Amino acid sequence: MDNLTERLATEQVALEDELMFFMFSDLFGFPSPFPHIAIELVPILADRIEPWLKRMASKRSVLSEKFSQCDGWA
Amino acid sequence: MTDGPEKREVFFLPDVFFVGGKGGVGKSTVAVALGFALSERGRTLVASTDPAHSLSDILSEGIGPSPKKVGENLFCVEIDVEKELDRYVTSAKRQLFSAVSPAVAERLSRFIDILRDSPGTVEYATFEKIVQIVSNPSSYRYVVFDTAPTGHTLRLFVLPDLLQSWLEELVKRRREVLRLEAMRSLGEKSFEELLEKDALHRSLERRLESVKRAVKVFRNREHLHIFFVLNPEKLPFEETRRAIRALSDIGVPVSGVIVNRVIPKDLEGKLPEVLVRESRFWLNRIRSDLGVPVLAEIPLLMGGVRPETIREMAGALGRVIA
Repeated sequence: MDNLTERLATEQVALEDELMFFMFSDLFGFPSPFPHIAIELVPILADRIEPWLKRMASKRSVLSEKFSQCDGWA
Repeated sequence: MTDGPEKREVFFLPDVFFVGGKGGVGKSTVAVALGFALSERGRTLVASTDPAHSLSDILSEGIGPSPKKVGENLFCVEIDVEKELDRYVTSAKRQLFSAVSPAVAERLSRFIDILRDSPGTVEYATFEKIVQIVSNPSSYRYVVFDTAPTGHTLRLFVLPDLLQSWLEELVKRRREVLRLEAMRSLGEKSFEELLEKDALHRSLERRLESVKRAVKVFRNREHLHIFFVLNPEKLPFEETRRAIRALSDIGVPVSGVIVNRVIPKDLEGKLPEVLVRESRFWLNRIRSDLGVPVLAEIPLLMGGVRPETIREMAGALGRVIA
């Protein structure tokens, strides 16, 4: 049971991180398609952005990880 | 054509005219003249979205960021996108500072500045302002947009669809996250409950709703009219031809072109022959090679932009929209 909740938690964090990346890719130098909308999302996600950035920074390579998850890119 | 019956409908949307074209061909003047012609039939707004506004110069009176009455049924506005953006950024920062500690807010507000300076931001803010004007129910029967030069106008028509699919993707992903969270809580929190409380989901949904309204306006072929203004010259001809093709590629039909500064017969003898010949050549190409109807040919009016010339233009355009 614990194992399952843990896995679900990990999965949720991974999904949330991905969603953050879609919204705030500008921070990594990828122009977001709609930066204007991202502006109003910053206050809503204010307490989650910095922890997310920290997690992203601790990964060995954000890009290779993201790309390897896309079909046909890896 | 009256205001009556439509106003009772839930979705009353105005007839929208986009006037585009290369810089310097007389777009704004034609937009104003078109506005005068339309105002004979109903409340009309002419809105300039070109950062290099010229409505004030054309009408010889100060037009600002809120609609100003310039005729019986005619209003004009020059949209100051940069200023709108500053207001938007300020309000986002204020919310930010009330949400987290000053130190975090300070760091994140620099992030907002980065987003503010992204290339798409101004363009999108323009688009949003247009949507706001158009979807404001029943305030105007006709809205004419005097747009920025060609490339800008093209992007405008691609934006709503792109934005809709981007937002739908975000909403879908947000729901997935919340579904996992509900699952993880082992029945303590329901998915619906989480969904309702989630500020991000709410914000994305609200955006999506307004974009769907925009898509509706932009797809409403019967009430959407796209005119290109050009002169009988090589460069405007080529640029307009490309624009028409690009729009038709994305399924947006151009209603037709308005040729401005056509040399009238009685002037032909008074101008250098080479100029007259050149002008006639390009006029013929416009008539035969653009693949869209020529809606009006406006003669070269001597004496520049004056109330009389605008009235004269309005007369010519009135027949087009009849």
